[in-house]
Amino acid sequence: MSGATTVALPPDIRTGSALTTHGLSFQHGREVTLTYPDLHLPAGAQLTITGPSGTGKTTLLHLLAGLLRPTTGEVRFGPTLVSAPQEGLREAFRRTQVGYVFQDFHLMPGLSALENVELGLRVAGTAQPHAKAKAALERLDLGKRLHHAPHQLSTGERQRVALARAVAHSPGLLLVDEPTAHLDRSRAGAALDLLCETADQLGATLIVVTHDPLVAGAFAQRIELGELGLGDKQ
Amino acid sequence: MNTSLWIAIRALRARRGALLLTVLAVALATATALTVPLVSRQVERGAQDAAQVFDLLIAAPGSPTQALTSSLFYLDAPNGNLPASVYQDLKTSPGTRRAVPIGLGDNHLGFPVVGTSTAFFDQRIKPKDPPYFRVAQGRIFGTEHEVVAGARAAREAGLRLGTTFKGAHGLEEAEQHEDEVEHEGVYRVVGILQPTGGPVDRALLTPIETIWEAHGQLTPASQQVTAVLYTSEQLAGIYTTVQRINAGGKAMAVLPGQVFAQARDVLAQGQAAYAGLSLLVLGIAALTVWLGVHAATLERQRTVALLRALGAGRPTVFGLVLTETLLTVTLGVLLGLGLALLVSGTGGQVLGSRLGFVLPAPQLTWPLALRALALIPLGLLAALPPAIGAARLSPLRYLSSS
Ligand SMILES: Nc1ncnc2c1ncn2[C@@H]1O[C@H](COP(=O)(O)OP(=O)(O)OP(=O)(O)O)[C@@H](O)[C@H]1O
Ligand SMILES: [Mg+2]
Repeated sequence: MSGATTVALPPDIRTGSALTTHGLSFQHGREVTLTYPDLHLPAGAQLTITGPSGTGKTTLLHLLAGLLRPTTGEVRFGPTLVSAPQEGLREAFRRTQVGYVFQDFHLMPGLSALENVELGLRVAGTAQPHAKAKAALERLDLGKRLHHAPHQLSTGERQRVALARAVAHSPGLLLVDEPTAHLDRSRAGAALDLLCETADQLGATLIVVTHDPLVAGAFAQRIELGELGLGDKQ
Repeated sequence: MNTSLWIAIRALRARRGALLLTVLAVALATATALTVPLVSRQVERGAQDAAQVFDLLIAAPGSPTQALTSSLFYLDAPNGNLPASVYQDLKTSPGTRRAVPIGLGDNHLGFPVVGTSTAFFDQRIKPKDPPYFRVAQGRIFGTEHEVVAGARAAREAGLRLGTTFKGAHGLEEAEQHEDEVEHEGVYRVVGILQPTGGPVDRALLTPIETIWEAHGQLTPASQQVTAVLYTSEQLAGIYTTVQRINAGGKAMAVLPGQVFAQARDVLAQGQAAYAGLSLLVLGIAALTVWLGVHAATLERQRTVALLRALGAGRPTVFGLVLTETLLTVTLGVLLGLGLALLVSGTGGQVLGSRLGFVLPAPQLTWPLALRALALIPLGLLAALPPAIGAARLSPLRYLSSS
């Protein structure tokens, strides 16, 4: 962390950056300290992180997204120091480089599917947010659900809206927390395929957190927290 | 569009029920605070317009206000009558530009028959202005029993050039003298005035001699007038005339401006109490805004946390909260201003037709508008703590699931 150089976000780099972490740990309050293995992921890599509940999977995603700053160590995405102390820099990183699919989706209940996606694009400062939001939803087969409110959608549809919001601004890093938690088996497989395809199309690095062995098994690259003793609670 | 504004509009849309209540509270408070001052200003201006064509009203001693409402607006019974000699004296005394007699007492279908002289049609607001009362059809009266009808009297009583009618006693329909309700004399319409918006629109003007004849005042000593509208050549002449008349004891000289000023003072006292009350109402509206802002806290925190997680900066979410409140209060205040203008506009029309003169359209002055617009900074002040709270909220607050 110390001696970290401030790297302004290069506007042209949207996708295809390498993700590296080094000596990462995070302390939750006084009791819980989570330590993580170093990551070296080339651009466009697809990785799953598994492990029992409470081993720090979600926390790791927050660290990678720049939502949290690590207690020790650093996170880099391409030229960007994600763990930089400057809040503005991390905000800009989240806006432009990160697509995050939250475990509970976190769609705004008062907004239609289309508006939820447009919201993300507006925050990202993308031009023509309306048209792009529509295109993103249509690509995920939600063209007929544009004006439905979240409560009018099935869980799978809600998840796809959340995915549309996460990828509409073409992020370089797609972070997904428990994508199959709310889905049955057959839907889970389809959802997973969709995630991987979408990340492929973007050329984005995909990191999926799960404790579902079926999901974990679908990835070539896998990190298991806890079991390997890398996400120790102390 | 600005991101904060885009989201604010949709966040408000999502809680449109609560929004509607807040907006209504603000609008009603605004309208309550503004309607009465608006209407009373309309009345003031309307009354002043009607009294601009002469300097001084000379009437029988008594209440100055009653003298005005009777001789000028034909709304009240006169204090009494003056000997016609008072009018003759004024007419011939040096320094007089114009002395116009007014003789009341009769009506036709409730429209007052006003005895006067041709000098009536020579009245003007400023010496160089055109005459204030102009004939639209026909001509000015020449001989007794000829009538020039005010625009509204002509329209509502169905009078046309050549129409004849019999006068009835009293200012209003059916009054006194049960035995002799109608006079011998028949009036004939020879002219119809252009509308002025003033009380003369209701009048049926006839030579004062007609009135004298109708009331059997055949000798100069028995002839009476209700009032004299006096205009002097020079400003100084007004005050010497006031002193001369009031010293004489037989008559009273009234400066219409003074009476209006007095009336305004009385109104102002009422208005001070009313202003206090409307301040209270505005205070309650501000409280409603404050409640609205705070009731939405939880919902807003979720929105704010999400926006921050997506990478929105603190200024964006700070602006979001202020924008939401700004929109709510502005909507309410604008609606309230419109409501106040609408109510005082239609209320003014109703009141004006009762009073016999047209009230001018309500005029929103800055000091008045500011009373309502003050709600906007008040609302923003109420939104400031939640806005600061939003700016300080952790993006993770509602995002880490369970
Ligand atoms: N805000 C917090 N304050 C204190 N401790 C926290 C906080 N958030 C998480 N923790 C602790 O940190 C540890 C890791 O939490 P995290 O949510 O990252 O786990 P997880 O692997 O995602 O678990 P799950 O599989 O149940 O989602 C847990 O023991 C949790 O109790
Ligand atoms: Mg988790």
